[in-house]
Amino acid sequence: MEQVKTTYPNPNRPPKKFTAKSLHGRTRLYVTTYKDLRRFQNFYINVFGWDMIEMPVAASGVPAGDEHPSLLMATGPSQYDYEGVTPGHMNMFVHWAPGEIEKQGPFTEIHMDRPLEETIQKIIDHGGKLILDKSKSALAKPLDDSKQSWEIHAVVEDPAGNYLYLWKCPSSRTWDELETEYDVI
Amino acid sequence: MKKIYTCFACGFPIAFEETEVPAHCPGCGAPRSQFLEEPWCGSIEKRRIHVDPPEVDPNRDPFDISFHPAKDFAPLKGHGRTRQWVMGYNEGQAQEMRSFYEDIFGWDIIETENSDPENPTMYCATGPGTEDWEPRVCSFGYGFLTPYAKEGEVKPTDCFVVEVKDIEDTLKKTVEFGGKVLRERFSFEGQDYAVIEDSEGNQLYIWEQKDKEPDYCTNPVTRTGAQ
Repeated sequence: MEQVKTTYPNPNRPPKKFTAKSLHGRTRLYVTTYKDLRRFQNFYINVFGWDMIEMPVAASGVPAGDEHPSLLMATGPSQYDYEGVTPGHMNMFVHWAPGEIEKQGPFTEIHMDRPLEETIQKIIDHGGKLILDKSKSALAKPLDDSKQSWEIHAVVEDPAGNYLYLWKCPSSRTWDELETEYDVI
Repeated sequence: MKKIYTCFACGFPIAFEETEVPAHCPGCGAPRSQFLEEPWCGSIEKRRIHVDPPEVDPNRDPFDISFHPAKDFAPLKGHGRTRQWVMGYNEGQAQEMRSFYEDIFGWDIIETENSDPENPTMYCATGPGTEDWEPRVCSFGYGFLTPYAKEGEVKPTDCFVVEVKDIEDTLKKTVEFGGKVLRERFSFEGQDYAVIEDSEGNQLYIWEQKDKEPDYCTNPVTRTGAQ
């Protein structure tokens, strides 16, 4: 019998079960940049109704009160720490672009229990690249997961040139957090 | 020794070894001196120190970026939510892209119904989902891999998809608040979209969901600053 192909938006099966106790691969937020803070805020507050806070230094690396702050922007119902609270939307991770606006891309969680270098090497082995040039992304930086950090850990490019902003969760995760639910077989 | 640290400024609890406690709250940026600590008891949910988060001021200045719990989004009925992302690929590269994301990140990837079989638009599940391929868990999203635009097409890549209740109304506001309309209403796989540019030059899709109202609009959620 001919196998029926699964297509979107009318699939004949649900997605596979994500049974690992891991958020590896989830596109958690979306990363974009601004040049003029007030102009940027004016657009998203008035067109889409977003709410926003200055991103804490622990997640942005930008000191509190900086004239070019990074922002966490809620696009839908959110927890106190600006994680989404209802399924179906991503909040935004926003930073100032010192030069031209930068490539947008998903803020993607990677293995929290494996060395960062191991994940990056796998990406490179599959045709990806590690971005270290800060003129391409202000978030680009050498690999270092020697200390606990909520900052983006690496900027990589996929084989087509899309940017992924990789984030490795610190050990503070307790698995009680709403966003850490995974599939049970 | 592992302890639970609850921020007196925002109410956010975290668990850390004493030697690894951050200098500032990762939730609101308050200094460590604001942390209340208690022994680790096996679960954040079982902690005994609970701090009321700041109350939401419905009249606060929306441009004020100092820490505050996010507002109540129920009145927007889903308008403005970032629902998906879009990334591009070069013609002939579909299988390479599929392998990259399946092998490294474990995504489940299917083609859209009317795709070009050689260069399909692919829909990607990046985590637990529902029967109709929507994320089942909060705080992450799904997205599309699609061939880059051919000459003359307006088909942004590396961008995000925002739900709106009315495309024409949103296009009007886009221009009013410093953005541009790159492509008026069009249909893709039975859904209506438009392409815009924000005030900074970032491109994004808007996706009309006129008659669909998220469940949280009628059944309020907890654990937010809004309720």
